[in-house]
Amino acid sequence: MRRMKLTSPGVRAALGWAVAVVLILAWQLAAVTGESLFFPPPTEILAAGYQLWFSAGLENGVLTDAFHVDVVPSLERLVIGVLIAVAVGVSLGVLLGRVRVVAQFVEPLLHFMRALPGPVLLPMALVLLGTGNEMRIALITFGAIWPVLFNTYSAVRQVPESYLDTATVSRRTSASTLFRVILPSASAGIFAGIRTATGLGIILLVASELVASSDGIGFGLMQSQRSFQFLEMWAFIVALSILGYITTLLLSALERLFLRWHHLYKAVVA
Amino acid sequence: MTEALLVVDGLRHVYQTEEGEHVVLDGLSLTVNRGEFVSIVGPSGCGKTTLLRALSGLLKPTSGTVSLAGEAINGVPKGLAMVFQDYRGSLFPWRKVGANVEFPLLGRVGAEERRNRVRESLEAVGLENFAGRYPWQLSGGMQQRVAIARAIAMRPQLMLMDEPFASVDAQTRSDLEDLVLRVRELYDMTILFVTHDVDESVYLSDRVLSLSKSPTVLTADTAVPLPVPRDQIRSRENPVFVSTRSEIAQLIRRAKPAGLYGPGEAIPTTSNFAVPVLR
Ligand SMILES: Nc1ncnc2c1ncn2[C@@H]1O[C@H](COP(=O)(O)OP(=O)(O)OP(=O)(O)O)[C@@H](O)[C@H]1O
Ligand SMILES: [Mg+2]
Repeated sequence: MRRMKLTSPGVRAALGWAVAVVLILAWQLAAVTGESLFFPPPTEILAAGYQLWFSAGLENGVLTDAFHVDVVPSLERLVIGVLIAVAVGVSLGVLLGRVRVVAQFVEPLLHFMRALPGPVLLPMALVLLGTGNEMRIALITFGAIWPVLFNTYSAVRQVPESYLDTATVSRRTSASTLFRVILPSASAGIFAGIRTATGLGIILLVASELVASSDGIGFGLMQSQRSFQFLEMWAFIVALSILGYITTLLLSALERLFLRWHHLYKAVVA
Repeated sequence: MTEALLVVDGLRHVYQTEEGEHVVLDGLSLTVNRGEFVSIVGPSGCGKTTLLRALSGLLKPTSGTVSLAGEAINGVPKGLAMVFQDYRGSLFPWRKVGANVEFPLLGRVGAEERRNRVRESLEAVGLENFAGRYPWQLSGGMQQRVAIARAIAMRPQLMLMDEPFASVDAQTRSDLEDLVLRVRELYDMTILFVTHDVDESVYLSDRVLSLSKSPTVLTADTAVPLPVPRDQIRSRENPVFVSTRSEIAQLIRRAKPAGLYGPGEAIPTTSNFAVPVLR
């Protein structure tokens, strides 16, 4: 019989899930025996979440009105905020990476701005942009843009000169060189930036919804905590972690789609 | 009938370095006729790559003119293809072999014609079954064949090759040499070929140009009156091959900055002196 290797991906995934299940069971057990008001058992949290968001019935499309108030606005903010961050970050990163003069002038300023933690800007954003969606999206974008920008910048600078020479002797236009050579060559670095950006985006999403808001996961979290609805509060926390997990899965799927060559290539070249 | 395809006149290039100006090419003039196979040999660091980069428009020379088919060129001319020494760096790892060959044709040639040319070019280098692989899944020699196929697909009037076989083993190298000769027949190409290897230059060429050390000038223009088609065994045994080879090897050994040591002059053996490669 062949021995199973701990390093094989299937076995590792199975082990990961097993650990998660054991921990949740332990939590369940502790919560049921402890009977603390603040730490309800996972089964009750899930039931509360289901009741809150998915109990509209099949004929009404499963999702409740509360889902549209609690979750949908957050998803919109996150997606729009991160997409803008990616678009602007990649564009600026390419500009900086390709035009040395611009980089020389702007780089110190960018490092200074990057050092600002996003939530610090919340009070200023409130004053400048008000309490609407724009303010929250702007905050998410501001926090998420840096990893995209700097990763793109450094990946673009690392595009081998020989690739650019090949493009030049093939008489490519600059647009064609950008889309067919520079961006593909830098894609792995850019993608790493997008991953980090999405994580930051979720943090800023919640932070922005904790103040002066009327909907979203952050608002719901705050609201349920203030009204001592601890079951609901936990349901919001779980919803956030599931949101984080789904975005990770989504990004991995995208990466498998666009960067398949890169994984294979790294395995061969390294 | 000989018709000049590439005319280089008074080409001079000076690199600006921290230690000051470094004159690499010091007034190089040469002509390559249509259909000719011309090799350039010269000591390491004399500026062969610099010369090809200037001819292909990758580098703007300090002074001098280059014209292709009668037209003065500025930037990358039409009808020119280049095969780089470093095939790994010149093939895109995210494009499959077929897509790499197709790359220079994108946006210039219709889809149907592109497919045909890719297939034909890959057939010419014997890689028709590898279009769907990634280049890094192939051996070094096969990768260099992909680079050659990409150059052929452009249907160039002039193909520049910069030490294309320097990093493959000897057997692969002979195979690739014959492949280039075959492809040249097939597509009626003019080839300007840079190499370190004196044997290779004689085996492949109609003419061999030798260079001095930098500041670099042309030291000789040697015709190779070796019958065609060339054959790896018979051509190399031919007395003409042997004598031409030693003539060129002498030229490289006698190379000094901006010229040649005289026949009776003592040649210094120290410093970074290039030893000609003989097989
Ligand atoms: N970008 C550059 N800046 C300054 N000096 C350079 C640059 N590129 C090349 N040189 C110098 O110019 C000289 C000629 O370089 P080049 O690469 O053209 O030589 P080569 O004949 O191709 O050498 P090899 O046979 O080793 O490939 C060398 O001394 C090199 O150090
Ligand atoms: Mg060179």
